[in-house]
Amino acid sequence: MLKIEGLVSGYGHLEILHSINLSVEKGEIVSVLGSNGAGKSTLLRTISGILKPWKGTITFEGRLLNNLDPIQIVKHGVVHVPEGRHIFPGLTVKENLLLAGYKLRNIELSERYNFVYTMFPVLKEREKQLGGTLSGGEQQMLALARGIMPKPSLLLLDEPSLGLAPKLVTLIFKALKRFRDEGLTILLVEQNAKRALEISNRAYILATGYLALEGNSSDLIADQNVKRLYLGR
Amino acid sequence: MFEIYLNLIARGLSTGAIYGLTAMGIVLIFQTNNILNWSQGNAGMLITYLAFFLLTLQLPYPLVILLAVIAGATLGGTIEKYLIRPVREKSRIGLLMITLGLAMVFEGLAAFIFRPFPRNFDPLLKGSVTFGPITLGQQDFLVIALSTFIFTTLFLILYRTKIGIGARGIAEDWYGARILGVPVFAIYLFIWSISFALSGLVGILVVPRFALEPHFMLPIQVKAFSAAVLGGMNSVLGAIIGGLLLGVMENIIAFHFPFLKESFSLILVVIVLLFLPTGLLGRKTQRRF
Repeated sequence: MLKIEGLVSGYGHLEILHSINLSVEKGEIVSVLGSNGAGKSTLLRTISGILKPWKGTITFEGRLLNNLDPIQIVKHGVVHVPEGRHIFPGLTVKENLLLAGYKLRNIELSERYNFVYTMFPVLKEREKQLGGTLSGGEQQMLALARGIMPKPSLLLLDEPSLGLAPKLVTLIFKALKRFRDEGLTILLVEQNAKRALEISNRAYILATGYLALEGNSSDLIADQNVKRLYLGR
Repeated sequence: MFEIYLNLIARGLSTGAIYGLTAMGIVLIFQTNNILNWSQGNAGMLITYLAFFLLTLQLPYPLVILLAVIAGATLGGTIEKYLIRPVREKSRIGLLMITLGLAMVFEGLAAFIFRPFPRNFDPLLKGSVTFGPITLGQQDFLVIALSTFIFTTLFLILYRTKIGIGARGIAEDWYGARILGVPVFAIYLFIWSISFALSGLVGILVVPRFALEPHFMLPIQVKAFSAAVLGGMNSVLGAIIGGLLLGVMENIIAFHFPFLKESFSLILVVIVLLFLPTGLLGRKTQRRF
Protein backbone atom coordinates (compact mmCIF):
# COMPACT_ATOMS: atom_id res chain seq x y z
CA MET A 1 0.00 0.00 0.00
CA LEU A 2 2.76 2.41 1.04
CA LYS A 3 6.22 1.82 -0.35
CA ILE A 4 9.25 3.94 0.51
CA GLU A 5 12.52 3.36 -1.28
CA GLY A 6 15.90 5.01 -0.66
CA LEU A 7 14.31 7.95 1.12
CA VAL A 8 16.63 10.81 2.11
CA SER A 9 15.12 13.82 3.86
CA GLY A 10 15.82 16.57 6.40
CA TYR A 11 15.50 20.23 7.31
CA GLY A 12 17.35 22.97 5.45
CA HIS A 13 20.84 21.58 4.92
CA LEU A 14 20.57 19.05 7.71
CA GLU A 15 20.12 15.51 6.47
CA ILE A 16 18.10 13.51 9.00
CA LEU A 17 16.98 10.38 7.19
CA HIS A 18 19.58 8.40 5.26
CA SER A 19 18.25 6.02 2.63
CA ILE A 20 15.21 4.54 4.33
CA ASN A 21 13.31 1.58 2.84
CA LEU A 22 9.94 0.81 4.34
CA SER A 23 6.63 -0.67 3.30
CA VAL A 24 3.17 -0.93 4.79
CA GLU A 25 0.58 -3.44 3.59
CA LYS A 26 -3.16 -2.92 3.67
CA GLY A 27 -4.77 -3.62 7.04
CA GLU A 28 -1.50 -3.65 8.94
CA ILE A 29 -0.35 -1.66 11.91
CA VAL A 30 3.34 -0.99 11.42
CA SER A 31 5.32 0.73 14.15
CA VAL A 32 8.43 2.81 13.81
CA LEU A 33 10.52 2.84 16.98
CA GLY A 34 13.67 4.60 18.00
CA SER A 35 15.05 7.05 20.51
CA ASN A 36 14.73 10.83 20.37
CA GLY A 37 16.28 12.32 17.25
CA ALA A 38 16.23 9.04 15.35
CA GLY A 39 14.18 10.65 12.58
CA LYS A 40 10.77 9.14 13.28
CA SER A 41 8.81 12.39 13.06
CA THR A 42 10.87 13.50 10.06
CA LEU A 43 9.80 10.29 8.32
CA LEU A 44 6.10 11.03 8.90
CA ARG A 45 6.46 14.68 7.91
CA THR A 46 8.10 13.64 4.66
CA ILE A 47 5.35 11.15 3.86
CA SER A 48 2.60 13.70 4.52
CA GLY A 49 4.29 16.32 2.33
CA ILE A 50 5.21 18.83 5.02
CA LEU A 51 8.85 18.12 4.10
CA LYS A 52 9.96 17.38 0.55
CA PRO A 53 12.01 14.22 0.00
CA TRP A 54 15.58 14.91 -1.13
CA LYS A 55 16.06 11.55 -2.80
CA GLY A 56 14.16 8.31 -3.14
CA THR A 57 10.49 7.61 -3.76
CA ILE A 58 7.31 7.46 -1.71
CA THR A 59 4.52 5.59 -3.50
CA PHE A 60 1.04 5.11 -2.14
CA GLU A 61 -1.25 2.69 -3.96
CA GLY A 62 0.90 3.03 -7.04
CA ARG A 63 0.86 6.84 -6.95
CA LEU A 64 4.06 8.84 -6.44
CA LEU A 65 3.60 11.21 -3.49
CA ASN A 66 7.02 12.90 -3.69
CA ASN A 67 6.04 16.27 -5.08
CA LEU A 68 2.49 16.54 -3.87
CA ASP A 69 1.20 19.20 -1.50
CA PRO A 70 -0.16 18.07 1.92
CA ILE A 71 -3.68 18.99 0.71
CA GLN A 72 -3.44 16.51 -2.20
CA ILE A 73 -1.84 13.85 -0.02
CA VAL A 74 -4.80 14.08 2.38
CA LYS A 75 -7.11 13.79 -0.64
CA HIS A 76 -5.34 10.59 -1.67
CA GLY A 77 -6.20 9.16 1.75
CA VAL A 78 -3.00 9.59 3.77
CA VAL A 79 -3.64 11.56 6.96
CA HIS A 80 -1.02 12.62 9.48
CA VAL A 81 -1.88 13.08 13.17
CA PRO A 82 1.08 15.13 14.37
CA GLU A 83 3.03 14.87 17.59
CA GLY A 84 1.74 17.29 20.21
CA ARG A 85 -1.81 16.98 18.82
CA HIS A 86 -1.97 20.48 17.29
CA ILE A 87 -5.67 20.80 17.94
CA PHE A 88 -7.08 24.32 17.59
CA PRO A 89 -7.63 25.47 21.19
CA GLY A 90 -9.97 28.36 20.34
CA LEU A 91 -12.16 26.36 17.96
CA THR A 92 -14.95 24.11 19.17
CA VAL A 93 -14.63 20.35 18.93
CA LYS A 94 -17.00 20.37 15.97
CA GLU A 95 -15.05 23.12 14.20
CA ASN A 96 -11.85 21.15 14.75
CA LEU A 97 -13.50 18.18 13.06
CA LEU A 98 -14.87 20.35 10.27
CA LEU A 99 -11.38 21.56 9.34
CA ALA A 100 -10.17 17.96 9.31
CA GLY A 101 -12.93 17.18 6.81
CA TYR A 102 -12.39 20.35 4.78
CA LYS A 103 -12.54 18.62 1.39
CA LEU A 104 -15.75 16.71 2.17
CA ARG A 105 -19.14 17.69 0.82
CA ASN A 106 -21.90 18.50 3.30
CA ILE A 107 -23.66 15.14 3.00
CA GLU A 108 -20.43 13.25 3.59
CA LEU A 109 -19.57 15.58 6.46
CA SER A 110 -22.61 14.73 8.58
CA GLU A 111 -22.00 11.03 7.93
CA ARG A 112 -18.39 11.41 9.10
CA TYR A 113 -19.41 13.35 12.22
CA ASN A 114 -21.65 10.42 13.15
CA PHE A 115 -18.89 7.90 12.54
CA VAL A 116 -16.38 9.87 14.60
CA TYR A 117 -18.89 10.39 17.41
CA THR A 118 -19.66 6.66 17.61
CA MET A 119 -15.91 6.03 17.85
CA PHE A 120 -15.46 8.70 20.53
CA PRO A 121 -18.82 9.36 22.24
CA VAL A 122 -17.18 11.79 24.68
CA LEU A 123 -16.52 14.17 21.78
CA LYS A 124 -20.22 14.25 20.99
CA GLU A 125 -20.85 15.49 24.54
CA ARG A 126 -18.10 18.09 24.15
CA GLU A 127 -19.16 19.10 20.63
CA LYS A 128 -19.64 22.79 21.41
CA GLN A 129 -16.74 23.09 23.86
CA LEU A 130 -13.50 24.80 22.85
CA GLY A 131 -10.64 22.42 22.06
CA GLY A 132 -8.40 24.11 24.61
CA THR A 133 -10.78 23.31 27.47
CA LEU A 134 -10.60 19.54 26.93
CA SER A 135 -8.48 17.33 29.17
CA GLY A 136 -5.24 15.88 27.80
CA GLY A 137 -6.83 12.53 27.03
CA GLU A 138 -9.83 14.14 25.34
CA GLN A 139 -7.52 16.33 23.29
CA GLN A 140 -5.67 13.26 22.07
CA MET A 141 -9.00 11.64 21.18
CA LEU A 142 -9.90 14.78 19.26
CA ALA A 143 -6.58 14.60 17.44
CA LEU A 144 -7.27 10.96 16.49
CA ALA A 145 -10.85 11.84 15.58
CA ARG A 146 -9.56 14.56 13.26
CA GLY A 147 -7.27 11.95 11.74
CA ILE A 148 -10.14 9.62 10.78
CA MET A 149 -12.52 12.46 9.83
CA PRO A 150 -11.53 12.69 6.13
CA LYS A 151 -11.99 8.90 5.70
CA PRO A 152 -8.32 8.04 5.24
CA SER A 153 -7.00 4.69 4.12
CA LEU A 154 -3.60 5.20 5.79
CA LEU A 155 -3.19 6.96 9.12
CA LEU A 156 0.21 8.30 10.17
CA LEU A 157 0.27 8.59 13.96
CA ASP A 158 3.03 10.45 15.74
CA GLU A 159 3.32 9.63 19.45
CA PRO A 160 -0.40 9.27 20.22
CA SER A 161 0.37 8.25 23.83
CA LEU A 162 2.74 11.12 24.60
CA GLY A 163 2.16 12.72 27.99
CA LEU A 164 -0.86 10.60 28.89
CA ALA A 165 -1.50 8.66 32.08
CA PRO A 166 -1.23 4.83 31.67
CA LYS A 167 -4.99 4.41 31.88
CA LEU A 168 -5.49 6.84 29.00
CA VAL A 169 -2.70 5.23 27.02
CA THR A 170 -4.66 1.97 27.22
CA LEU A 171 -7.74 3.81 26.00
CA ILE A 172 -5.88 5.30 23.04
CA PHE A 173 -4.39 1.94 22.03
CA LYS A 174 -7.87 0.40 22.22
CA ALA A 175 -9.01 3.07 19.79
CA LEU A 176 -6.17 2.15 17.43
CA LYS A 177 -7.30 -1.50 17.49
CA ARG A 178 -10.82 -0.41 16.61
CA PHE A 179 -9.42 1.68 13.75
CA ARG A 180 -7.71 -1.43 12.41
CA ASP A 181 -10.92 -3.42 12.73
CA GLU A 182 -12.64 -0.72 10.66
CA GLY A 183 -10.13 -1.44 7.90
CA LEU A 184 -7.68 1.37 8.52
CA THR A 185 -3.98 0.89 7.92
CA ILE A 186 -1.73 2.58 10.47
CA LEU A 187 1.89 3.66 10.50
CA LEU A 188 2.60 4.28 14.17
CA VAL A 189 5.52 6.19 15.60
CA GLU A 190 5.90 5.56 19.34
CA GLN A 191 8.24 6.10 22.26
CA ASN A 192 6.32 3.48 24.19
CA ALA A 193 7.99 0.59 22.38
CA LYS A 194 6.35 -2.19 24.41
CA ARG A 195 2.79 -1.07 23.71
CA ALA A 196 3.59 -0.36 20.09
CA LEU A 197 5.08 -3.81 19.52
CA GLU A 198 2.13 -5.45 21.24
CA ILE A 199 -0.37 -3.83 18.91
CA SER A 200 1.53 -3.83 15.62
CA ASN A 201 2.10 -6.56 13.03
CA ARG A 202 5.56 -5.44 12.03
CA ALA A 203 8.06 -2.84 13.20
CA TYR A 204 11.03 -0.84 12.00
CA ILE A 205 13.67 0.49 14.37
CA LEU A 206 15.40 3.72 13.43
CA ALA A 207 18.71 4.86 14.91
CA THR A 208 20.23 8.24 13.98
CA GLY A 209 18.40 8.30 10.69
CA TYR A 210 19.36 4.79 9.59
CA LEU A 211 17.16 1.74 9.53
CA ALA A 212 18.65 -0.41 12.30
CA LEU A 213 16.29 -3.34 12.43
CA GLU A 214 13.02 -4.55 10.97
CA GLY A 215 10.84 -7.58 11.48
CA ASN A 216 7.64 -9.02 12.87
CA SER A 217 6.68 -7.37 16.12
CA SER A 218 6.41 -10.71 17.89
CA ASP A 219 10.01 -11.54 16.92
CA LEU A 220 11.26 -8.11 17.94
CA ILE A 221 9.64 -8.34 21.37
CA ALA A 222 11.68 -11.51 21.97
CA ASP A 223 14.92 -10.07 20.55
CA GLN A 224 17.59 -9.64 23.23
CA ASN A 225 19.01 -6.39 21.81
CA VAL A 226 15.58 -4.84 21.36
CA LYS A 227 14.71 -5.82 24.92
CA ARG A 228 17.85 -4.23 26.28
CA LEU A 229 17.78 -1.06 24.19
CA TYR A 230 14.11 -0.22 23.78
CA LEU A 231 12.02 -2.19 26.21
CA GLY A 232 14.10 -1.43 29.29
CA ARG A 233 14.48 -4.96 30.52
CA MET B 1 -23.43 70.39 28.02
CA PHE B 2 -24.66 66.80 28.06
CA GLU B 3 -25.85 67.19 24.47
CA ILE B 4 -22.42 68.25 23.35
CA TYR B 5 -21.00 65.00 24.69
CA LEU B 6 -23.70 62.96 22.98
CA ASN B 7 -22.74 64.59 19.70
CA LEU B 8 -19.04 64.07 20.36
CA ILE B 9 -19.70 60.41 21.04
CA ALA B 10 -21.84 59.96 17.92
CA ARG B 11 -19.26 61.57 15.67
CA GLY B 12 -16.53 59.66 17.53
CA LEU B 13 -18.31 56.38 16.79
CA SER B 14 -18.19 57.20 13.09
CA THR B 15 -14.46 57.98 13.27
CA GLY B 16 -13.99 54.90 15.43
CA ALA B 17 -15.78 52.71 12.89
CA ILE B 18 -13.24 53.88 10.30
CA TYR B 19 -10.39 52.99 12.66
CA GLY B 20 -12.09 49.70 13.47
CA LEU B 21 -12.50 48.70 9.82
CA THR B 22 -8.86 49.47 9.11
CA ALA B 23 -7.71 47.75 12.30
CA MET B 24 -9.80 44.72 11.36
CA GLY B 25 -7.92 44.45 8.05
CA ILE B 26 -4.60 44.71 9.86
CA VAL B 27 -5.59 42.13 12.49
CA LEU B 28 -6.97 39.67 9.92
CA ILE B 29 -3.64 39.64 8.11
CA PHE B 30 -1.58 39.71 11.30
CA GLN B 31 -3.50 36.82 12.81
CA THR B 32 -3.40 34.46 9.87
CA ASN B 33 -0.06 35.49 8.33
CA ASN B 34 1.85 36.79 11.34
CA ILE B 35 2.76 39.83 9.24
CA LEU B 36 2.20 43.48 10.12
CA ASN B 37 0.69 45.08 7.05
CA TRP B 38 2.01 48.64 6.86
CA SER B 39 0.36 49.21 3.52
CA GLN B 40 -3.22 48.82 4.77
CA GLY B 41 -3.77 52.59 4.82
CA ASN B 42 -1.97 53.50 1.64
CA ALA B 43 -3.63 50.72 -0.35
CA GLY B 44 -6.89 52.47 0.52
CA MET B 45 -5.39 55.77 -0.59
CA LEU B 46 -4.41 54.37 -3.99
CA ILE B 47 -7.86 52.86 -4.49
CA THR B 48 -9.46 56.15 -3.48
CA TYR B 49 -7.50 57.79 -6.31
CA LEU B 50 -8.88 55.16 -8.65
CA ALA B 51 -12.36 56.01 -7.38
CA PHE B 52 -11.63 59.70 -7.95
CA PHE B 53 -10.70 58.91 -11.54
CA LEU B 54 -13.85 56.82 -12.04
CA LEU B 55 -15.98 59.64 -10.62
CA THR B 56 -14.52 62.09 -13.12
CA LEU B 57 -15.80 59.68 -15.80
CA GLN B 58 -19.30 60.46 -14.47
CA LEU B 59 -19.93 56.93 -13.20
CA PRO B 60 -22.59 56.81 -10.45
CA TYR B 61 -21.13 57.09 -6.94
CA PRO B 62 -22.46 53.76 -5.51
CA LEU B 63 -21.13 51.91 -8.55
CA VAL B 64 -17.74 53.55 -8.02
CA ILE B 65 -17.70 52.33 -4.40
CA LEU B 66 -18.50 48.82 -5.56
CA LEU B 67 -15.79 48.93 -8.25
CA ALA B 68 -13.29 50.26 -5.69
CA VAL B 69 -14.03 47.41 -3.31
CA ILE B 70 -13.55 44.91 -6.13
CA ALA B 71 -10.30 46.66 -7.16
CA GLY B 72 -9.12 46.46 -3.54
CA ALA B 73 -9.85 42.74 -3.34
CA THR B 74 -8.00 42.16 -6.60
CA LEU B 75 -5.03 44.22 -5.43
CA GLY B 76 -4.87 42.34 -2.13
CA GLY B 77 -5.08 38.95 -3.80
CA THR B 78 -2.42 39.86 -6.34
CA ILE B 79 -0.04 41.11 -3.66
CA GLU B 80 -0.51 37.96 -1.60
CA LYS B 81 0.06 35.67 -4.55
CA TYR B 82 3.00 37.37 -6.23
CA LEU B 83 4.81 39.30 -3.48
CA ILE B 84 4.03 37.67 -0.15
CA ARG B 85 3.71 33.99 -0.98
CA PRO B 86 7.18 33.55 -2.55
CA VAL B 87 8.85 35.14 0.51
CA ARG B 88 6.60 33.87 3.29
CA GLU B 89 8.65 30.84 4.29
CA LYS B 90 11.99 32.50 3.71
CA SER B 91 12.12 35.72 5.68
CA ARG B 92 9.81 37.25 8.28
CA ILE B 93 11.65 40.55 8.36
CA GLY B 94 11.64 40.58 4.57
CA LEU B 95 7.85 40.44 4.63
CA LEU B 96 7.72 43.42 6.97
CA MET B 97 9.91 45.34 4.54
CA ILE B 98 7.68 44.34 1.63
CA THR B 99 4.55 45.76 3.24
CA LEU B 100 6.43 48.91 4.30
CA GLY B 101 7.89 49.23 0.81
CA LEU B 102 4.43 48.76 -0.70
CA ALA B 103 3.12 51.65 1.39
CA MET B 104 5.79 53.87 -0.15
CA VAL B 105 5.31 52.51 -3.66
CA PHE B 106 1.57 53.22 -3.44
CA GLU B 107 2.29 56.77 -2.31
CA GLY B 108 4.79 57.29 -5.12
CA LEU B 109 2.43 55.80 -7.70
CA ALA B 110 -0.43 58.04 -6.62
CA ALA B 111 1.76 61.13 -6.74
CA PHE B 112 3.20 60.12 -10.11
CA ILE B 113 -0.07 59.22 -11.85
CA PHE B 114 -2.46 61.74 -10.31
CA ARG B 115 0.01 64.52 -9.30
CA PRO B 116 0.52 65.21 -5.58
CA PHE B 117 -1.81 68.24 -5.21
CA PRO B 118 -4.68 68.01 -2.70
CA ARG B 119 -7.99 67.47 -4.43
CA ASN B 120 -11.50 67.86 -3.25
CA PHE B 121 -13.46 64.63 -2.91
CA ASP B 122 -17.20 64.94 -2.28
CA PRO B 123 -18.97 62.64 0.16
CA LEU B 124 -21.70 60.31 -1.13
CA LEU B 125 -24.23 61.96 1.21
CA LYS B 126 -24.00 65.62 2.09
CA GLY B 127 -26.84 66.50 4.46
CA SER B 128 -27.22 65.75 8.13
CA VAL B 129 -29.64 63.67 10.18
CA THR B 130 -31.05 64.47 13.61
CA PHE B 131 -31.95 61.99 16.33
CA GLY B 132 -33.30 63.95 19.30
CA PRO B 133 -30.37 65.95 20.61
CA ILE B 134 -27.86 64.37 18.23
CA THR B 135 -27.07 65.81 14.84
CA LEU B 136 -24.87 63.68 12.65
CA GLY B 137 -23.65 64.09 9.09
CA GLN B 138 -25.39 61.71 6.73
CA GLN B 139 -22.00 60.43 5.59
CA ASP B 140 -21.05 59.71 9.23
CA PHE B 141 -24.32 57.87 9.65
CA LEU B 142 -23.60 55.91 6.48
CA VAL B 143 -20.18 54.98 7.87
CA ILE B 144 -21.72 53.65 11.08
CA ALA B 145 -24.43 51.72 9.24
CA LEU B 146 -22.06 50.25 6.65
CA SER B 147 -19.48 49.21 9.21
CA THR B 148 -22.13 47.54 11.36
CA PHE B 149 -23.13 45.57 8.29
CA ILE B 150 -19.52 44.67 7.50
CA PHE B 151 -18.69 43.67 11.08
CA THR B 152 -21.72 41.38 11.13
CA THR B 153 -20.92 39.86 7.74
CA LEU B 154 -17.31 39.26 8.71
CA PHE B 155 -18.34 37.56 11.92
CA LEU B 156 -20.72 35.31 10.04
CA ILE B 157 -17.88 34.45 7.66
CA LEU B 158 -15.40 33.75 10.48
CA TYR B 159 -17.78 31.66 12.58
CA ARG B 160 -20.21 30.11 10.12
CA THR B 161 -18.33 29.33 6.91
CA LYS B 162 -15.68 26.73 6.24
CA ILE B 163 -13.23 29.26 4.85
CA GLY B 164 -13.67 31.53 7.88
CA ILE B 165 -13.29 28.71 10.39
CA GLY B 166 -10.25 27.66 8.38
CA ALA B 167 -8.81 31.15 8.74
CA ARG B 168 -9.33 31.00 12.52
CA GLY B 169 -7.67 27.58 12.56
CA ILE B 170 -4.66 28.92 10.67
CA ALA B 171 -4.44 31.82 13.12
CA GLU B 172 -4.31 29.38 16.02
CA ASP B 173 -2.05 26.73 14.61
CA TRP B 174 -0.66 27.08 11.13
CA TYR B 175 1.10 23.72 11.21
CA GLY B 176 -1.98 21.97 12.51
CA ALA B 177 -4.07 23.43 9.69
CA ARG B 178 -1.55 22.61 6.99
CA ILE B 179 -1.13 19.02 8.14
CA LEU B 180 -4.91 18.47 8.15
CA GLY B 181 -5.07 19.48 4.52
CA VAL B 182 -6.77 22.84 5.06
CA PRO B 183 -6.08 24.88 1.90
CA VAL B 184 -4.00 27.46 3.74
CA PHE B 185 -2.80 29.32 0.65
CA ALA B 186 -6.29 29.80 -0.77
CA ILE B 187 -7.34 31.13 2.63
CA TYR B 188 -4.38 33.53 2.74
CA LEU B 189 -5.47 34.88 -0.63
CA PHE B 190 -9.02 35.30 0.62
CA ILE B 191 -7.89 37.16 3.75
CA TRP B 192 -5.64 39.57 1.83
CA SER B 193 -8.45 40.25 -0.61
CA ILE B 194 -10.90 41.04 2.20
CA SER B 195 -8.41 43.26 4.00
CA PHE B 196 -7.56 45.32 0.93
CA ALA B 197 -11.21 45.56 -0.10
CA LEU B 198 -11.85 47.02 3.38
CA SER B 199 -8.98 49.46 2.95
CA GLY B 200 -10.47 50.73 -0.31
CA LEU B 201 -13.87 51.18 1.23
CA VAL B 202 -12.40 53.03 4.21
CA GLY B 203 -10.46 55.35 1.90
CA ILE B 204 -13.55 56.42 -0.02
CA LEU B 205 -15.68 56.83 3.10
CA VAL B 206 -13.15 58.91 4.99
CA VAL B 207 -11.51 61.01 2.28
CA PRO B 208 -14.22 63.71 2.23
CA ARG B 209 -13.13 64.68 5.76
CA PHE B 210 -9.68 65.54 4.45
CA ALA B 211 -8.55 66.24 0.93
CA LEU B 212 -7.41 63.58 -1.50
CA GLU B 213 -3.61 63.60 -1.44
CA PRO B 214 -0.99 60.83 -1.39
CA HIS B 215 -0.59 60.70 2.38
CA PHE B 216 -4.11 61.34 3.63
CA MET B 217 -4.41 57.80 5.01
CA LEU B 218 -1.30 58.00 7.19
CA PRO B 219 -3.09 59.19 10.37
CA ILE B 220 -5.77 56.53 9.83
CA GLN B 221 -3.11 53.86 9.49
CA VAL B 222 -1.36 54.95 12.71
CA LYS B 223 -4.62 55.11 14.63
CA ALA B 224 -5.81 51.79 13.29
CA PHE B 225 -2.59 50.26 14.59
CA SER B 226 -3.29 51.86 17.95
CA ALA B 227 -6.84 50.51 17.86
CA ALA B 228 -5.54 47.04 17.00
CA VAL B 229 -3.06 47.11 19.87
CA LEU B 230 -5.74 48.46 22.20
CA GLY B 231 -8.03 45.61 21.19
CA GLY B 232 -5.31 43.00 21.57
CA MET B 233 -3.83 42.55 18.06
CA ASN B 234 -5.11 38.98 17.81
CA SER B 235 -8.80 39.57 18.13
CA VAL B 236 -11.04 40.86 15.35
CA LEU B 237 -13.70 41.81 17.87
CA GLY B 238 -10.96 43.59 19.84
CA ALA B 239 -9.99 45.58 16.75
CA ILE B 240 -13.57 46.79 16.36
CA ILE B 241 -14.00 47.68 20.02
CA GLY B 242 -10.54 49.23 20.11
CA GLY B 243 -11.37 51.33 17.06
CA LEU B 244 -14.70 52.55 18.47
CA LEU B 245 -13.18 53.35 21.89
CA LEU B 246 -10.28 55.18 20.32
CA GLY B 247 -12.56 57.19 18.04
CA VAL B 248 -14.83 58.27 20.88
CA MET B 249 -12.02 59.02 23.36
CA GLU B 250 -10.06 60.93 20.76
CA ASN B 251 -13.04 63.06 19.85
CA ILE B 252 -13.70 63.98 23.48
CA ILE B 253 -10.01 64.67 24.18
CA ALA B 254 -9.80 66.80 21.05
CA PHE B 255 -12.76 68.85 22.23
CA HIS B 256 -10.96 69.77 25.47
CA PHE B 257 -7.35 69.69 24.31
CA PRO B 258 -7.26 70.16 20.53
CA PHE B 259 -3.45 69.97 20.38
CA LEU B 260 -3.54 66.40 21.78
CA LYS B 261 -5.78 65.02 19.03
CA GLU B 262 -3.09 63.46 16.84
CA SER B 263 -0.79 62.22 19.61
CA PHE B 264 -3.51 60.85 21.87
CA SER B 265 -3.67 57.46 20.18
CA LEU B 266 0.04 56.86 20.66
CA ILE B 267 -0.10 57.92 24.31
CA LEU B 268 -2.95 55.47 24.72
CA VAL B 269 -0.91 52.68 23.15
CA VAL B 270 1.90 53.25 25.65
CA ILE B 271 -0.55 53.18 28.55
CA VAL B 272 -2.24 50.04 27.24
CA LEU B 273 1.07 48.26 26.73
CA LEU B 274 2.15 49.16 30.27
CA PHE B 275 -0.94 47.92 32.04
CA LEU B 276 -2.61 45.51 29.61
CA PRO B 277 0.12 44.05 27.40
CA THR B 278 -2.33 41.76 25.62
CA GLY B 279 -4.88 44.51 25.00
CA LEU B 280 -8.54 44.47 25.92
CA LEU B 281 -9.50 41.19 24.28
CA GLY B 282 -6.14 39.71 23.38
CA ARG B 283 -4.97 36.32 24.48
CA LYS B 284 -1.48 35.10 25.07
CA THR B 285 -0.65 32.88 22.15
CA GLN B 286 1.91 30.22 21.71
CA ARG B 287 3.17 29.13 18.37
CA ARG B 288 4.95 25.91 17.85
CA PHE B 289 6.03 23.99 14.83
